[in-house]
Amino acid sequence: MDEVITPLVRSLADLKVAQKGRVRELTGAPAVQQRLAEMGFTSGSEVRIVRLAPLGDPVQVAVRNYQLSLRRSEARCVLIDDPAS
Amino acid sequence: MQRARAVVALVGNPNTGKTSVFNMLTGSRHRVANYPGITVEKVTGSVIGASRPTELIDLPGTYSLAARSPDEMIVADVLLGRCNGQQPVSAVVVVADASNIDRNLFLATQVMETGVPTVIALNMMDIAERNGIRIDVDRLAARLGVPVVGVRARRGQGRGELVQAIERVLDEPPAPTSIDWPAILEQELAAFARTVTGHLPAEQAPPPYELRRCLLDVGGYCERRLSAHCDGPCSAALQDHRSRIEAAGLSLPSLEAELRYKRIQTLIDECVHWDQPGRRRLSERIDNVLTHRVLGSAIFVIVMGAIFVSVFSWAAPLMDAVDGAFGHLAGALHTWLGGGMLASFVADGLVAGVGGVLVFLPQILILIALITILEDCGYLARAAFLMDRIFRMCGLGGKSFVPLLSSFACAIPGVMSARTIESRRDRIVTILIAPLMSCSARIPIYTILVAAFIPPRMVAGFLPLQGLVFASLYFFGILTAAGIALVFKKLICRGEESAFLLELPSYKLPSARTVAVRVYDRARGFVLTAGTIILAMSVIIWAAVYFPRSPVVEQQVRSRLAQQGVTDEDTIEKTVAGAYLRASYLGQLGRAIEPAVKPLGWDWKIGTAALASFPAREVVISTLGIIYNLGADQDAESEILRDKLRTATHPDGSKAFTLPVALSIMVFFALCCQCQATLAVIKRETNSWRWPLLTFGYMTALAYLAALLVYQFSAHVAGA
Repeated sequence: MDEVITPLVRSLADLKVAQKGRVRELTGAPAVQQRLAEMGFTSGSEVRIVRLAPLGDPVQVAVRNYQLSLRRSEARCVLIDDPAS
Repeated sequence: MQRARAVVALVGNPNTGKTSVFNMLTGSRHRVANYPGITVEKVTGSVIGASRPTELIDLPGTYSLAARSPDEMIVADVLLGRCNGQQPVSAVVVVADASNIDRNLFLATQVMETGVPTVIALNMMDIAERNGIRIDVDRLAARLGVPVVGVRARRGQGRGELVQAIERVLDEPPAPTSIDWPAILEQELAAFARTVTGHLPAEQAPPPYELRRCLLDVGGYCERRLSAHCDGPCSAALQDHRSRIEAAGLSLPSLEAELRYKRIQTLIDECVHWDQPGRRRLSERIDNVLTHRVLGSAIFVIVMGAIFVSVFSWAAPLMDAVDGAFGHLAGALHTWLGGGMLASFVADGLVAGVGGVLVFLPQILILIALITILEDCGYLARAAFLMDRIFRMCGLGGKSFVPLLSSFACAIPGVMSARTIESRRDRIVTILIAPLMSCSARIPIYTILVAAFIPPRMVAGFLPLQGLVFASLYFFGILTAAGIALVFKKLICRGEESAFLLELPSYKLPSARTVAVRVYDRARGFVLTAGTIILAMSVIIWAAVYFPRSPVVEQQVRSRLAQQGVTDEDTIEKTVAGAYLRASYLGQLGRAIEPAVKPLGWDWKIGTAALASFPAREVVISTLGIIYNLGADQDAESEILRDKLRTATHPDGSKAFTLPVALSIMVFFALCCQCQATLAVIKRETNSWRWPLLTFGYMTALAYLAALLVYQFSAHVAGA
C-alpha cells in the first residue's frame, strides 16, 4: 500500500531525525518569528534534525552550518516544504 | 604627538571567543563596573600597542541588535551613544566566528549600519580551516567595505594587524553602508519619524536607527521605550505604519533577516569556499556520545554529580580552615584586647564579619572555575539541552539546572552561576528561588532538631523516620521552589518573552586564561561588593546583640549565683552571657515580637534566636546555646544542647519544645532567607535592591505561613 500523502505544509517539528527540509515561511508570535529568522531560519534555507533530547524535546537542528536547540513549540513555527531524506 | 583618546566597543555573537579577543587586545588587564539599572557588567580595558590611548569596552554577546530586554539594549545604546555616563564610541570591532560565518555576518552587517566605523575580526580561522572552510579575507573586506582581519585570539595571532585596522578606521572612517530596504518600508519609516518628532521634544526623540528598530521589532524594547515617552499618538502611528507594510505583502518579523541573509549569501558565494561540503565535523561526532539518549544522560549525571560533590565536599575542608582561622584570630584578639566593647567589636563584629565573607570563597572559586570550563568547551549548552524539558514544567529552561543544583551546597555560588542564563527573566526567577534549595547551612538545624524530637523508629519496618523527615524537608523546598517559579514567571519582566533558541557551539578546549580571568573577576567582585554589605550587616547585628550592655545585668546575675552558692567561673560567665543577650536590643526585640511568633508555637527565646540568625541560619544554634546559658560553642552534635532543648520549659512549667514546635522551627528554616550573604550576592548579581528585598520578603512570609500551618495542624488537629 502507498504511503499516506504528505500534507503540503509541514513544520520542522514533524521531521524525523536525520530528515532534511527547506524553510518555507515562519508563523507564530512575532517575537519568536523574528528570533528564528535572525538565527538563520529564512525562506529556502536547509534544515536538518540532528537528534532529540532524551525526553523527546527540545530538538537539535542543523541550519546554516551550525547547530542549535529549539523547543518543539518553536519548531512548529518553522513551516517547511516537502522534506527530502 | 599625543592624539585624542578613542573609545572602541567590542561586539560579537556568544561563543565567538570575544573574551579571548578582549584579552589579546588588552593583555587581560581590565576594570569591571555596572551599567545603571541593568544586570549586565561593564568591562573595559586599554588597548596595548595603539598609537593613541584607546579604551576597549567589552559588550555582552548577542545575536542581533533587535533588543527585547533592557539588558540586550545595552549593545545598541553604547554603539549609538545613548548610554548615560558613557562617552560615544569612535569605532567598533565585531568578533565573528570564521567557522560559522553566515550567521555571524548577520550581527556584523547590522553593526556596520549603525554608522559606527567597523572592523571585523574573524576569529577561530584555524577551526574553520580544519572544517574545510576557506575564506578570502581580502575579498570579503572589499565587498563589505570595512577592514576584515583573520585572528587566532587564544594564540595572540593577528593582534598587530587588528590594532592597525582599528587605527585605520579611526583615522579614515569607511563609508556607511546599508542593505536595500524596500521602498514601502522607507516611506513608512519617514512618515513615522515625522510623527515622532512632532510629538516629542528633540532631546527625547530616538535617533533614526532606533526608529527603524521600533518599526521592525514588534513588541521589542525600542517600541516599549518609545511608548514610555509618547504613548498615544506614537503607538497608534506605529500600528498604522506596520499594517501598511504588512498590507504590501511583507512580513515584518522576518523582513530584516530575509534581506540580510540574502546579501550575506551573495558575499559567501563570492568569498567562501567549502572543501568537502557536508562532511560531518568532529564536534558532531562528539555530540553523538555526549547528547546520546542513554550514554549522554549517564555522562550528564556523572559530570553534574562531580560538580555537586566538589562544591559540597571538596570545598568543605577549605571552608573549615577559613572558619577555624578566623575563630582563632577572634579568640586571640579577645584575649589581647582584654575584653570589653572594643575587643568584642573587633573580634565578634569585624573579624567574624570578614570571616563570614571569606568563608564562601572556596565554594565560589571551585564552582565558577568548573562552570567556566564547561561553558568554554561547549558542554554547558548540551547540559541545558538535556535538562530543558524537565525545567519547563516550572516555567524555566535547562540553564537553570546548574545554579539550582549548586544551591543545595550553598546559594551564594548558585546565585552567581545564574549568569550563564541569557534570558533576563529566567535568570531573575532562578536567582529568586535558588535560596529555597536546602543548603548545607540548614543541615545543623535539621540535625539537632531531628535528633532531639523525632523518635528513632522505623516506618513500614525499614524506613527510618528521622531520615524521612530529613528528606521531606529537602523535597518540601524543591516543590515550593517549583510553585514559586511558576508564579514569578507570570509576574516578572512581562513582555520580554522570546524564543528559547540555544546555540550548540562546536566543542573546543577550554582556555586556561579565560577561566583564570573569570574566576579572579567573580571572586574579586564578590569580596568587594557583596563582602562590603555582609560586613556592614555583621556589624549592625553585632551591635544589636551587644548593646545596651548595662553592668547592672552582670552584677545581678553574679549576686544571684553567689546566693545559690555557684562558684564555677565558667558557669557564671555563660549565665552572664545569656543574661546580656536577653537584655540586649535584639533580646528586647525578640520579646516584642513574641505575640507574632506565638502562633508558631515559639516563645521569645526561639524568636530571638531566629532574629539573631539573620546573618546566617546556622547561628540559630549558637544563639540558642547562649540563651540557655550553655555558651555559644554549640553545634549540631551537641548532646548538652539537645538535652536542654528536650527539657526546657515555659515559665508555667509546660515544655518549651514539643514535636510540633520542632517541626515548626524546621519548616521555618527550610523556607526562610536568614542568610545575609545570599541577599548581598543577589544585590550584586541583579544590581538592584529590589530583588534581594523581594527574596527576603517572600521567603519570610512563606516560612511564617508554613510554620504556622505545620504547628497549628500538628498541635491541634493531629494532637501530637
